[in-house]
Amino acid sequence: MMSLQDIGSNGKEVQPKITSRPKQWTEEIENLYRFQQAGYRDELEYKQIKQVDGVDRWPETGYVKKLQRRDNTFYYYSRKRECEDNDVQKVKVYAY
Amino acid sequence: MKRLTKQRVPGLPLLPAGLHKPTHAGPPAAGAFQERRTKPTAFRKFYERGDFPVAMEHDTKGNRIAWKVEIEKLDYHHYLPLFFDGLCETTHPYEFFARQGVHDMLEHGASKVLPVIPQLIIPIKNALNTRNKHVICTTLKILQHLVVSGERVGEALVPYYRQILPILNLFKNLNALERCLEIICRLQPPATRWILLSMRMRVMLCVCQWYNHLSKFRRWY
Repeated sequence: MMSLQDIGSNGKEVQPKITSRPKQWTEEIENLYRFQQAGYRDELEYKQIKQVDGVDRWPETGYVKKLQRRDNTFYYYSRKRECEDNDVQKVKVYAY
Repeated sequence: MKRLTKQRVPGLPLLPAGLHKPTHAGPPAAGAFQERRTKPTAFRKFYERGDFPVAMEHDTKGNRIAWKVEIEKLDYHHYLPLFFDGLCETTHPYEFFARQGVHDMLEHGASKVLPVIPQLIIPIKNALNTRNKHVICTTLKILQHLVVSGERVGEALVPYYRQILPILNLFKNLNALERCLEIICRLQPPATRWILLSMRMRVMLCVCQWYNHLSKFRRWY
């Protein structure tokens, strides 16, 4: 399975083909939760739509700190975990 | 059996008819714990004028603030005291925006919070003086966040203890005081934390009593 880092180097938009639902919380799930709260599938779609190279993250935890939404408003996230155990199954994991 | 009639003085036990009833009432209630109504805050006026760069978004977990401007670009000297002023509010959406807005600004303010501390004292004091338990708890949580929001913020609050802490004496029998003690502990280095805590609380109580005595002397003169 191709990883997210290998895709997008040619600048073309790629569409995910398979999704799965996580059963346990991880740091990757936490970041996915934050992207999906802001209206994006994942980090790749955010970078493609907003034309940015990087995402603001908390230095201590690596969690996403700030995202700009499609209507150009900003969502700010805590340095601590925000995705509760009840919310884990709502997160969608996209595979390319 | 004769029915006992109700006494004129409330609060006293009922006495059988014919016995001597006290005619004088005790001192009136001081109303120390009564909630104080606050006048409309500046936060409400600015919010209704549309001056705040915030919008409410509803999601599965409740409400969330969407900022129209990046928090890092906001003028903290202008906005942060206004958001603190909104802590007195108890109605939706003012209460939500004030509380969550303050938390967001403290979380992402870094070094911009320290210079604004003197302007935050009066709003904090007004919020604590409302005697509204919900407002007090919210304000104490924000104080907790404030002292860890940046470097030297705790030290910057020390000169203002005498303005903020006395109101907490009213609630010393409630769980709120434990939260107050927790906040005060965070303001000082760990080594001297507990010693200074007991000293400061005693000093504050002494200061309050001294002010009371002084005001009595001033009336005589």
